[in-house]
Amino acid sequence: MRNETMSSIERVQCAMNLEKPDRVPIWPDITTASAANVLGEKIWEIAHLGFDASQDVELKLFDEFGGWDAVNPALTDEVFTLGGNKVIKATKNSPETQFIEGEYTKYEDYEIIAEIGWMNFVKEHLISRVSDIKNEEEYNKKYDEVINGTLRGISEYQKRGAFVLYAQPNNHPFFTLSLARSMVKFTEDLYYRPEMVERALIKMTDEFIEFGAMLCEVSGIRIAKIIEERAGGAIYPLRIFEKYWWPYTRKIVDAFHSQGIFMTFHLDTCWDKNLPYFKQLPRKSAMVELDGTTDIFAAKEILRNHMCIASDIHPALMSLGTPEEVAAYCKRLIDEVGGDGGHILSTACGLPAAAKRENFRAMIETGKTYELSK
Amino acid sequence: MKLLIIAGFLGSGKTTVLLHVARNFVSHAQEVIVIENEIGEIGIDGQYLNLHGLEVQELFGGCVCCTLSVNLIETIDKICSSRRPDWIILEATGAARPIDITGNLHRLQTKIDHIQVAIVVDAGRYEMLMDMMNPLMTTQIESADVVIINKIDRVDAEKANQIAEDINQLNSKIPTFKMSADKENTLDGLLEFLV
Ligand SMILES: Nc1nc2c(ncn2[C@@H]2O[C@H](COP(=O)(O)OP(=O)(O)OP(=O)(O)O)[C@@H](O)[C@H]2O)c(=O)[nH]1
Ligand SMILES: [Mg+2]
Repeated sequence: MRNETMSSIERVQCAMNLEKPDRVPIWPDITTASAANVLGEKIWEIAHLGFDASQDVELKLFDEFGGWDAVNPALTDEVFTLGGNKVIKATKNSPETQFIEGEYTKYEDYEIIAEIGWMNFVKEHLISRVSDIKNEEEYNKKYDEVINGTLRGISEYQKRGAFVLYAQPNNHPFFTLSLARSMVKFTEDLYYRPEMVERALIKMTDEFIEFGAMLCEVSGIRIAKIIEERAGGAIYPLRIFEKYWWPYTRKIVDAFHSQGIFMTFHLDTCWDKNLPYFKQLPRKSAMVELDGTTDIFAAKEILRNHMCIASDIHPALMSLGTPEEVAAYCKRLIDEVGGDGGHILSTACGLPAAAKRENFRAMIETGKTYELSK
Repeated sequence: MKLLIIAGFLGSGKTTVLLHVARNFVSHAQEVIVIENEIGEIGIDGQYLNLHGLEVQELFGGCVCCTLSVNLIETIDKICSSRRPDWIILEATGAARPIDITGNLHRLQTKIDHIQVAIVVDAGRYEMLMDMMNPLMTTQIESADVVIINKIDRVDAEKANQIAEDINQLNSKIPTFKMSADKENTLDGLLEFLV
């Protein structure tokens, strides 16, 4: 191991501030499924045991590998369910959470969402369409379990000296509506009658800001995470992005920035064409997490000295590749994306459930030992 | 062993096309295994195909864009460790780009002789999707070996021809087949092409 001169917290802060740390900060972005797999445990049993059980598996992996720098509390199926998604828990045959897309909302629902907000809409209407939660009391009970579990997760990681990146993520309003209505229907709505969709987006954006700030307050973690899998340039043309995604996003980032809240973007699919827009956000106000389909080396050129990048070791590499291949890619990332700081070594879209133990080890060890050369 | 990937947007008619194609192969004494990538209501397509006597494996994936290809490789390797069908037919979700699905097939332990990608487009929604989701539609079509213009009963003949022309503007070499997959006997040309 190299001589470390920084704590994990200093190291991650340094990367976010676009400065050069002693070595690359590591955030493997594990999930309970991937942690269980690396540890040789059974996710389909753990996933039914509640939040704390998931969190404990993730902590066990952290401890077994001597820890790493950046972490996030367990992101359990319940977090997604409570957000209004239809999910199916892992089973022996399918050791990963399944997201089931469908037309769970009707056009008229946009009006209700614009009136009462997304969270109330989920509680009062959507939750019974996508889960077996029957009433508000049950909803609130699960909600409390998630919040309490998250707070415990944060505190356990803080005891271990790790930098907690965020409390829990939230889907972008655009992505939320697309998932709940189904991609084709949502797109049709934007094409034929966008007015109500826009009203819902406006309401949800304000709510996102309010809820995000509240979560930061409760958790003490002043970073908010937003997930978007669909608005990127590989799926929608820039004019759709410019109209229905970017203004809402800017509003959210500006509001958070003025409150001292940092933002991290989980951006799936290829964002090559969209990344130049991110330079309009205040410098050091946010970070982007790329998923291996965006050209991360081109992204570095665009965002250099403006925004930190969490990198993108691809799930195929982590699960089907060899430790040598993983180490070689990590070194390339450290050299080319992280040489001057502004880089957190991470996995694309999270560590996959099928990641091999030896590949995981290769990632962590390369991160801890490979020198920042440039 | 050959792999046929049938991709296309939600509800474009992939399962309907797949059923015809697979039944035809089976009637010509070919062993076929279907892989269903479920994105809609769980298992429905799989159960439907099962009812028609087809052997179906489900392909699970947490995230369309990144873990799909990994799980596909594992599923194909698993199938092939016990047998070697003549055809594997995969129905893939509409949000996927074929490249995200096939991008890692070189990591397969099993050798595949031939991979074909068929994209199903819904004629009735073509114009809207081409306008609204142009990048995804375009990459899907550009990376396809064949495009099936389905549900032509929903548009007039002129419109159907226009769609075919439009597709050939994007990819002049690509064969297109117009059909109403839920009617019988509309796939003769397609089958010849695939075999
Ligand atoms: N009018 C018309 N309807 C069709 C045609 N082909 C399929 N359908 C109908 O379209 C609907 C969707 O067909 P599927 O074959 O399930 O489409 P899919 O692409 O497999 O759908 P997902 O798996 O849900 O994405 C069904 O109700 C079919 O009966 C067609 O040629 N014309
Ligand atoms: Mg189908």
